[in-house]
Parts: sequence; structure tokens; C-alpha cells
Amino acid sequence: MIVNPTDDFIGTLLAEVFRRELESEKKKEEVSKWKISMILDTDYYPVSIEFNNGISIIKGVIKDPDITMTTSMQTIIDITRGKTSALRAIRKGELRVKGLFRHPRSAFRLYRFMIPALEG
Amino acid sequence: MIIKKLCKVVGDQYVSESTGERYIYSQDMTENEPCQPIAIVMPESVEEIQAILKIANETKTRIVPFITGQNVGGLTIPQVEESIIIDLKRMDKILQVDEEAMYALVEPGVTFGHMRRYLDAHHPELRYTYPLAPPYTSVVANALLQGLCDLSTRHGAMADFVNGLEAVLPTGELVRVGSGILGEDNWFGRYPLPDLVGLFSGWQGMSGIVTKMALQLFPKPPHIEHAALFTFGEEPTTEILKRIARKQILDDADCMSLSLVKMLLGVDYPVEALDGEPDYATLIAVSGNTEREVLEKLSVVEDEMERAKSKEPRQLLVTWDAISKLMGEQARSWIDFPSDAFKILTEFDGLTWVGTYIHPKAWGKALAGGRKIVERYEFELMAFLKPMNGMHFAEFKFIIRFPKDIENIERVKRCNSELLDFALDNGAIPYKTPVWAAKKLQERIDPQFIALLRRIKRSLDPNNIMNPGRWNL
Repeated sequence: MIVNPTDDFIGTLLAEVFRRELESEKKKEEVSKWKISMILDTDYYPVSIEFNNGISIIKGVIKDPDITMTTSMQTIIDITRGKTSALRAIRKGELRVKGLFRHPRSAFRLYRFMIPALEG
Repeated sequence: MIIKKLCKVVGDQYVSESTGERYIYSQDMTENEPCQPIAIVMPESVEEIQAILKIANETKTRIVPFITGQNVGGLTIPQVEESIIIDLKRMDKILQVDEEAMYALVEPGVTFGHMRRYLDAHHPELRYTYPLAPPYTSVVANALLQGLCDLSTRHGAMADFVNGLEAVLPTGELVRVGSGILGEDNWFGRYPLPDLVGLFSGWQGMSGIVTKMALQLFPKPPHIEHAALFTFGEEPTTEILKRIARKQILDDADCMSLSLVKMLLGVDYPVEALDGEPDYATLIAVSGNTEREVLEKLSVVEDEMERAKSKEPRQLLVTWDAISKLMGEQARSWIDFPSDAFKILTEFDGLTWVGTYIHPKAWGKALAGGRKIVERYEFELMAFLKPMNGMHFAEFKFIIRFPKDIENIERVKRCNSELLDFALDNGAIPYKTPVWAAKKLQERIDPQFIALLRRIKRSLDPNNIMNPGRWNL
């Protein structure tokens, strides 16, 4: 399964994290069936991620994403380090998720894929 | 005629006049003009070097010392026709390691790779350093060229690690400087003596051939930790660096354009700086005798970053556990930067920089002004700034990797020329100075300094056989 190369910093880091996560055949098979679009909007800049028979990451925003996550790089690092959890960050308003009610299944899938990937 | 004499000294197989080898030794990776030597000779001993220099003096033959040619300054390219290159690679022995006074006595062909492997195997409680160069670079050459290393933020330029040396003068005499003048096993330092290491340090092989050098080693700390700062803006970045470096707790700090980290992560050429990305990534290293000592040092860095975040919330300190998770195996490459970086810097056959040592007051201005110049010439942004020797100064450069065709070489020359003018305007002194840079420097500096250099050179090398033309003397 291909994670498309990107040329921006956040996108490159995410691609590296996703590639490692997809070393699991089971996860690869599961993710390859998804059709989900999302924006990760950080205080640095936004990146858009599309799951559609592979993962494509681009710098900037796409139209009509299923899910938009808004957070800071500090929060992403804190989640990566285990200093906070995604749920705690949501409770504290440090991570906001838009599209949760319209696309609950997508949101749940992304949560289950991205958070363990970031936490290593 | 001279070739026959050289063959008699070192043996036929260690003298070459072949076109292929003369071509290889005529250039390096930089934009500096090539010049073919008439021959290459590879001695194995001090006695052979003395014999070669005696012949050179008799025949007024010009000599250029060479070890691996990784100086990124064109410094082993002959400046005059009909030169002979003395390649010192065969002299590659680590002669002594003194555990108590912590130094190693080495021959010029010993590389950073040799040194690390040898110390790890035989003296695991000691360490040397590694430079912004591949592991096959000579430790003696780097010290003589006053280069930097991964302990420079704490201990300064590598010339400061020299306890003493042995050299063959251009006229063939063998001399020693430093405490080793009192006999073997005594290379503990340079003082209290007239400091004659300065007759060889920074001279680019114009004053003799160093045959042995005693270099300080350092205790290998049981605990080493890394972290990274991601920062925006030249002035804010250098202000953060200065505040942290002044705490005197860092082993090392490498501030670099984010592009360099993106290259390590595999982003393809040409790597661009994109809107919203941090401008700089700084890798810091701290060490200690206990884990607690290391954590306390990191907490000092954290406090400084919190202060910085109050002005710009995006300034970020990332500990190494997070970097490892985000960067994967490439995190290791970043720690091994500078050595490991050569795999990305040598993407093309051309590599160059204008390296300078610069006053702290000019760091921010230098990064900002240099950036404008590099962007105007449409090269990738590869700034590199390292606080040196506590924080008394910094090493500062813009690295350029380029395909070596005529058009690019001309563009590189113009860009480097402008970068150097700008650096000189800011009081920076170029190091590993190619001749074109030495000319520019000489137009601005105290003429008595040049007159003194000439007097020393004439006194040591009356026939001007050693690397003539270097430093535009």
C-alpha cells in the first residue's frame, strides 16, 4: 500500500509514521478499503490526508473533508510523548474535531489508526 | 629526473604520473579551478618525507600535502603548475593513547572512522569527536584546518584540542612543539611554552608537513540525550540559541535550515522552504554522569523554550523519544549529522560552502542576509550555525550542493562571492579559506598581519616549496 511522498515537513513526518503503522498486513488490508478525507489543521499549516486505495498527504486544504482536526504541533508532540491523550486533549479544547457527528465511523477509524501510530 | 629520485625514496608503486590519478588529484567537490599535479607520491615514514622535501628543495619543486581532500575549500588543489602532491594516507597509525592525560598520538592518515573504532575497541571510556565531514576524513587535517566537530559547542574548534605535534619543516628538519619536546609519552599539553602549534595550525600546509599530532580525548559520558528545537525567524532563533548556549550545559548545538532535516527524511531535490514550516531545526546534545544530571540540563533548556513560547507559541522543543517516533530510523541519521549528512550533501558531484567564524551579535543578521542571497541565486536553503566554545562565537555557513556543470559553477561562484562579502561586512572570518576568499579578506584586514605571515613563511620555507599560492601569500 502506497503512502504518497510529499515535500512538506508535517506531511513527511506523517508519511513516515503511517508507513511504519502499515507494516502490519492486517492494518494495511483494513486501511486500503477506506475512503476517508480529512484535514489536519495545525498552528504551523494545514495538511490534507486522503485514504483511497493508499494514503495521499498534501500541504493545504481540500474541499469538503469528512473530518477536520484542529490542534497545535505542541499537542501532537505531547500525544506522541504520552504526556497527554487524544481524549484528554479534546476535553481540554486542545484538539477539536469537526465532522464527528456526520461521519462518526470515519472519525472512529481515524482515531484508531492515527493515535496508536503517533504514540508509537 | 625528480620522479626517479622520488621512486628511489618510496618505491615505484608509490609514485604515480598517470593521467587518471593526476586528474583525480587536480580537483575536489568545490567550484575551485582544477590544476593537475605532475605526480603523486605516497610516503610511509617520517624519513621518507624528509628525503622528499630535501629533493624538493634541491630542485625547487612545489609540494602540496594531501590526505583525503575532504576540506570543501579546494585546499589540496595545487595553486601553481608542476606541483607534486604528497598523499599521507599510508601514515595511518594510532601511536599511543594515554588514558590518564586523555590524549591520542596519531599520524596524519588516521581518520575519524579509525579513531572511533579504535577507541571503542580499546579505550571504551574515552571518545574523540566527529566533524562536518565523512568518517574517512583525517583527524590531523581537521585539527590543522581549525574545523568544528560535535563537541565544538562545548570545547571549541578542533585546533584547540591539539596538545602538540611533530613536523618536517620545508627545509627537511624534524621539529616538535608542545610538551612532547621533553620525550615520548609526554604529550599532555601546549603550555607553559611559546605556543608554536600556531606555526602549523591554519597554515594550509604552507609551513611544513605534520607527521604526528597529540589530540585531546574526552571521557565518554554514561548518559547522553538529544532534543530538537523547531523555531521561526532568524533573530528569535538565534536569541533562543544564545540564551541556551550561555547556560554552558550543551555538548553540541547544530542549528540548520529545516530543509536539511527534510533531506534526511527523504524529500527529493530541490528541497524548498514552504510557508508555515519552521525556518530552523536545532539538534542539541547534553551529557552527564547520571540520568538525573542530563534531565536537569534538559529542564534548563525547557525553561528557556517556555520563555520563547511566550513571544511565539509555535517555537517548539521536542524531546528525542518523540523525534524517534516521528522520524523513525532517520532520527539516528540526524544525530550522526554532521558525518552522516554527507549521504545527502553528496547527492551531486558539487558541494561547497563559505564557512566563517562569527561574533554572536551578528548571528541573526547573518542568517537573514545570507538567506536572501541564497534565495536570489535559487539554491536550496542550507544554513548551518553552531555556537562554539561555550558561546564565544559561532561557525556559520550556507551549504550548496550542485551538479558540477559550467553554468552551475558560475552561479555558485557568484553566490559564494556575495555571501563572503556579506559575511566580511559582519566581521566574520572565513575558515578553510580558498585563495579567492583569502584575497577578499586581505583587502580588509590589518596589512601588518599579512606582512607577519610573509615573514614567517619566508623564514620557514626560503625556497617557497610548500603549497605556494595558498592564502594568496
